[in-house]
Amino acid sequence: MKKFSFWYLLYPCLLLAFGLPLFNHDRLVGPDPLSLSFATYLAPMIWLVLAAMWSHEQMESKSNGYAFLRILPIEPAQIVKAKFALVFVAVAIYVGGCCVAFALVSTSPGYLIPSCGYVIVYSNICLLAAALLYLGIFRFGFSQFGKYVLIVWVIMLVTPVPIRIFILKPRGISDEEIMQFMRGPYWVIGTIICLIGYYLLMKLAIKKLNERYA
Amino acid sequence: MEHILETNKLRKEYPEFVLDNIDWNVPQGYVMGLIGPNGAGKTTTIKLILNLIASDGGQVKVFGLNNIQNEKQIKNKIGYVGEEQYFYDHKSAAWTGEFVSHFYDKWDAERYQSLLDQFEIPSKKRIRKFSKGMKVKLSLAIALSHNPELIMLDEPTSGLDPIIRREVIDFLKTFTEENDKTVILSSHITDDISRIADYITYMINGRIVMTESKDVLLSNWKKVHFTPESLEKSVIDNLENVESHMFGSSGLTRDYPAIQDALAPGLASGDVKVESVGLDDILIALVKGD
Repeated sequence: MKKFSFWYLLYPCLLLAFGLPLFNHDRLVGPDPLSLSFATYLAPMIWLVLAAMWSHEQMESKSNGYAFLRILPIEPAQIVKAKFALVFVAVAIYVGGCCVAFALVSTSPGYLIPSCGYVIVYSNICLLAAALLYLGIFRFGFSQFGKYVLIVWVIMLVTPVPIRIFILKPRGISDEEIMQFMRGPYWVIGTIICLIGYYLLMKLAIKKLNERYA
Repeated sequence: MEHILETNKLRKEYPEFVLDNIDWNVPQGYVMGLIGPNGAGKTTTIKLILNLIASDGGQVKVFGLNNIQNEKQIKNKIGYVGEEQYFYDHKSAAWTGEFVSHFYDKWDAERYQSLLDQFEIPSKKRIRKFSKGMKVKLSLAIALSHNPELIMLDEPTSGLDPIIRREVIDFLKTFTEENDKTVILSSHITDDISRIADYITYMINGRIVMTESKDVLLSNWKKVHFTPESLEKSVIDNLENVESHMFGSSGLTRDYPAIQDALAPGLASGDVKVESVGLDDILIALVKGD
């Protein structure tokens, strides 16, 4: 964990710092100092945790890191747990940082709760995506799996734009209306399901890494 | 004699290769040389012992412990240098030492630094800029810095130039003599093994064909040069790899003391000559006879 923690924490902190000027913008234009644009800007940036994870796996593959770790007195389960824990901690710090920042500037729960929920939903997707990426890497190997991930990665980055233009905008669904959905208990239930899923995927990843080593 | 390593019917199957029922004991406190041609199964055996690959049958006990159930505990007491050296090559030797120190119970940072100094390895330089020889030495420094009880070296000198090779082997010789460690050294370079091993194991086509003390092996195996009429047929029939040439014939015996009396008249008359053999001569004979 210690090996990569600096980079995992640096990216989210930088993004949070870049987003800070938006507070001022929101203060000028919105009914609450915390309007929705801040959350919608920050939430997708959690993907950078995935980018950090992917680049480190690339480096791990390039330098045969798993072969190096294999000769050390460390069990495959420990390797997987450390990697999953690091992603989880990075995501948790990012979510925590966002929520604290929101709480500091918001004057009404009407904006605070949906904003936090919005970031948490993205974080849940990020956690599951990270778990699936690890699973694929342990199952197929980085090089083999990497070919397909690139396609998925591009789709993930590109699809929100056409969804917004061709589906949401013609139906008059605004960002604010989407955010209102976060007011309900759905994202709490979703978070619990995601965390359980993340844990189960970690167990499966341990099994796959053991099989790969064998 | 206590055995630090015991394998029982160890087996691994690949589509084109089978490691077949390996029963192998390594005595504690000695250097065991594992000799065999390329593809004999030396690396597979070592990887199975370290549980780097899964076996298809059999058992391995290291320090009296099952190698699968006690993998972490066993690896804590083993220093391993493979044929290929894997590191985070964008990092330095100092970083690598710091990184691996977290995994070993008895990591000795001072010893690591002293080995880096002795091997003239720059601790701050990125490993990707190291030569093959430097990487082997770094690997050796890591393998020896956590006070291992068993050192396993799988073709460590393969691909090294003769000067570095000699340097590494000489270091190992001194180290093992001074520290009373058990060493398993696998190589197809018999000269390396000949220099430091106490015991020799020959492995051919996935089978262990012989394990013997080096001294006994070299005193038993001899090359006999003779003229056809100087030896009885029964003696000649017991020689291996008999070859005829313009000065007579020659063949190998694997039990020189047993034929010593029969050779005596020929030796006295000068019709028979006996020559010591090297480990590679024995390897060639075993491969031909396999």
